Amino acid sequence: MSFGVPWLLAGMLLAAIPVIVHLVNRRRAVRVRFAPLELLRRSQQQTARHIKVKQRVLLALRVALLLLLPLAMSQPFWAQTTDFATGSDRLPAAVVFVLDDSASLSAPVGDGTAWSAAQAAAIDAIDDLRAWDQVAVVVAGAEVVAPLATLTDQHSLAIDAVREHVPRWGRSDLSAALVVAQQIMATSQQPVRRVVVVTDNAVSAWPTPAAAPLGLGELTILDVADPASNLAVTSLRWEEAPEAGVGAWRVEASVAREAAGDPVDVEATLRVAGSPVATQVARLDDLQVTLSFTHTFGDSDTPVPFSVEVRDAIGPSLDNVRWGLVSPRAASRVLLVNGDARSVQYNDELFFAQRALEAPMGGRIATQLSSIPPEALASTPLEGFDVVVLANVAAVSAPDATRLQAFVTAGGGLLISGGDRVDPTGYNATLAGLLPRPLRGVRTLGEYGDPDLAIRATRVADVDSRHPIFAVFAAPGGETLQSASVWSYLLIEPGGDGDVRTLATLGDGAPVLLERVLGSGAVVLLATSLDLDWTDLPVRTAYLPLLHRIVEHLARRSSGTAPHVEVGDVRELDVATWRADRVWVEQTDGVRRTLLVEEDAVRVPVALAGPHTVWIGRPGEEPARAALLDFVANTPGVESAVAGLGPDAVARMAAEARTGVVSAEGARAAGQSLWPILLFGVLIVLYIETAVAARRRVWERIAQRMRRGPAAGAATDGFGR
Amino acid sequence: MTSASLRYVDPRQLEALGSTQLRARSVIEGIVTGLHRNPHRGSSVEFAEYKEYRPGDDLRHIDWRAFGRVDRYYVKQFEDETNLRAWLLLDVSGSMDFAWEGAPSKRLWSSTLLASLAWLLLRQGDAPGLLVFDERPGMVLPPSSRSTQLDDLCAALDTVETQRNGPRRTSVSAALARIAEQVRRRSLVVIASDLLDAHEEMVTLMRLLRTRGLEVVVFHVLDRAELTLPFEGLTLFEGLEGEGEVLADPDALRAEYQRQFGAQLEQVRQTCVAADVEYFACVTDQPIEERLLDFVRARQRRTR
Repeated sequence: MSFGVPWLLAGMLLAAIPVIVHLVNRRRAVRVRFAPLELLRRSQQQTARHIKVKQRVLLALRVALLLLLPLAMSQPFWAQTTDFATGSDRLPAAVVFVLDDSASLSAPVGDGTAWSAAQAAAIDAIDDLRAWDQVAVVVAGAEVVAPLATLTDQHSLAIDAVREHVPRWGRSDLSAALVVAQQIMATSQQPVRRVVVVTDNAVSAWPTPAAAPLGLGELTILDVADPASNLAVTSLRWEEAPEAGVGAWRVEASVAREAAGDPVDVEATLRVAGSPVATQVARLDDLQVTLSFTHTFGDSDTPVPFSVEVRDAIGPSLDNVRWGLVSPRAASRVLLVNGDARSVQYNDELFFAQRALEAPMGGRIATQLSSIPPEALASTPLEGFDVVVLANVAAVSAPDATRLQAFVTAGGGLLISGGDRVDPTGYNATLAGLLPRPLRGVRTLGEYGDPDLAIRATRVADVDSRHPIFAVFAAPGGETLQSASVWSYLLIEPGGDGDVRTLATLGDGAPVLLERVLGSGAVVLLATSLDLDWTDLPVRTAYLPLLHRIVEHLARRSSGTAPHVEVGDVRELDVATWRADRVWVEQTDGVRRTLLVEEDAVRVPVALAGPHTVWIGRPGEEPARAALLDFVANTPGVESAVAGLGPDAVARMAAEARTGVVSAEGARAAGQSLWPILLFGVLIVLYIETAVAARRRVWERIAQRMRRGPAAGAATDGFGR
Repeated sequence: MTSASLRYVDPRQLEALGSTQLRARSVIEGIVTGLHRNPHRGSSVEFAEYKEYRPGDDLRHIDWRAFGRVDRYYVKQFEDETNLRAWLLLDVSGSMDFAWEGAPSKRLWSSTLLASLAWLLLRQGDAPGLLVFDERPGMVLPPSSRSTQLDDLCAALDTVETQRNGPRRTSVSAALARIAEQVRRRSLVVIASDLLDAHEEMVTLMRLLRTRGLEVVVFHVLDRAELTLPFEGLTLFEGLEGEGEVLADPDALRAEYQRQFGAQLEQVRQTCVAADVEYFACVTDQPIEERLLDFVRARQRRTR
């Protein structure tokens, strides 16, 4: 006997309760003063034995009740096998084939894979059908598809559907596929209904617990693979290893096997951009071993895909490799142009900005800062930087403006901040191609140190919370940005084209932060200062994250590192800052798919494991590489569990579905549920217990009512009995 | 409850009525007027005394000579007629304190019954007396037809009511023995008791009293709970007469108890019938008036 929910058996401990109650009740009685006590004593002597027997019977019934109830709820069943054909085998049948194309079927079987074996087994089974049998084909996966969704007696269509299906190597959910099979079956008038599941019957193919819909019909499981073991790379971690040199990274790979066994040597290879760069051999004594590689990825501008692969000749091949993506140059390089340098540190224009940007974010330095005076801008090559900051710079020469414009168009970021040295007229003249909107002048509400500043100053009123810069401020506590006072700011001309976006406004409606997309880059204009001259923002808690977010955004690093993506998932790419209308994603096999941008994002169905490279396209422009959107996908980890669903689980499923299960060998397995019988037993015991425990007066009253009716009055004889 | 019985005093309200005299009056008011004529009229020629005429007295017994002398109506009374001595025996043992679910205690119910009876007897010129007993005879109030007798009798009953006798057993035999010793004349003996000690000696004494010309009336007073054993669940029964305790499941022994209790009641009834004793079964949740009327009607039938 097996159990569907074995942990409920613990409920049988409740059977101790009646025994305890019985023992406690013996010590607890209601006290009553009574006159004819001698008569009562004589009566008790007569009935003592009867009471004792009744009490023991009641105790036994209650214990039995509390034993039977958890037993029934744990869903016991009895597995039976039989190998004779039933009478229904000769009747016309509707047969739905459910194929499993999950990654676990990549295991080698004979000269091919488990998938090719599954195809062959399904085609053989279709060939064996009689001419009047109808057939349909369903393929299980993260998404169930039906290559042949209508039952037909043209068996060749089914064979073609099986033969032409390309496995998706994702995860599988056979229970969901059985529901689809049941829906197809519902359209059939055939007297016999049969579902044939062609699978490796791995635990991972069934949700927990495995279940078949009620009344599905006869369920046949063709088990096409039974790998004795499996070796898989289950996880990858990578981090910078500065101790090993500039650009060095440490990669740690966990290699695990299905079940414990004799120690084996595991050979793992690290591949970078497709080429093997290191190989290691480790002893796998237990279930898991971790291998560590150190490799110098260099100073690449684009993320570098890599993989760790193990040799495994038995289990599925797809989980032998796992992919990762390293962004070698993780820190943004920022050029700070200091327009108001001072010898007293805290009076310096960049005093607060530098300290904010130098602060580590998430445990690592996010920026590499270089600071120059405005006159040095002409001689500084901009190609080595991701972001340029013009902090309170009085004026920019026309040649510098042209260089900056080229820099931004090529993908760089420019942050312009205000200050008392800024000449709006000069800016409008030289930076017209960069400024989001022309400047109109400076508005001063007060001076730093003015005692009435708190009344005169305005505050940040509205921010565009959908913009990546302000995503962090949407979290609880993010409202601290609104507490910053601003008493001087650059006035900006109204209007502007579609590439300009107002990101924040002040309480009087004046824009304080604007963005203009230019080519592959962007310009952000902060209408107030980066120091305390025009605002107290630098001493507010919002200053540090705000500055980091602006720089990350301008350096196109706000997408972060690639998250964990598995085959069968849908990867959503946020392309809001790219202003793209199309995205191309190239899989590891070279197939490039075109996707249209909807609401600043694209959803990429992941069909293959490996690196995926991304291009973006704008109207009227050639596709541009968007390396920061690249990602890697891996085979679902659950598919590494290749152990078969046990016969108990199959029998229980058959019992729940009120159907039989036939294995590939032809033995018919049937699960006989015992819990309905036990529940019936519980009801019977409950009834007997009620009858025995009910006080005799209750029965007497019921009998009296049945005889006389409810209106029977008090007795009228001498003693009213 | 029938419509006729609505006039009766609810036994559950008895205690709230206050003293025994008030309770007795309430009971008596519920009984039809004129039902209590002396049943012994003209049964003797031995003159005893005069009594002032009251409506309802027989006109044949008016002494016209006396009327001529004092201009008032007097009725001549004879020995048997004037001195029907009635001994009212009240059981005040511990078991009579039992009460259940709003019903009055058996002692309260019995004392009210006897006081009401005394009222009736005095109204027709008889002389009621009182003997209170438990395991031995206690307070005695000799029979008298004095106008203050009712007050004395009710006061005596009130005194008994306020006393807590503790776990004293019932002994009707001892009380009957005392009556047999004291009473020489023809009398009426009324016993109100739960008769928990009914046995052979009591029967013998009843027969003795009958042979000596005394009429014996037994009011067998019980509580409904004693008949039905309505308790549920494991119960520790504590005796009211010092019998100790019994732990029992009433549901299990109810049938056997009722069988034995029924047998004992029947035995008592048969014993009374055999000894020519008038027997009235009483349950404390029933109106006293009903039992009293039963008694009066039975007396009328007996003297007719």
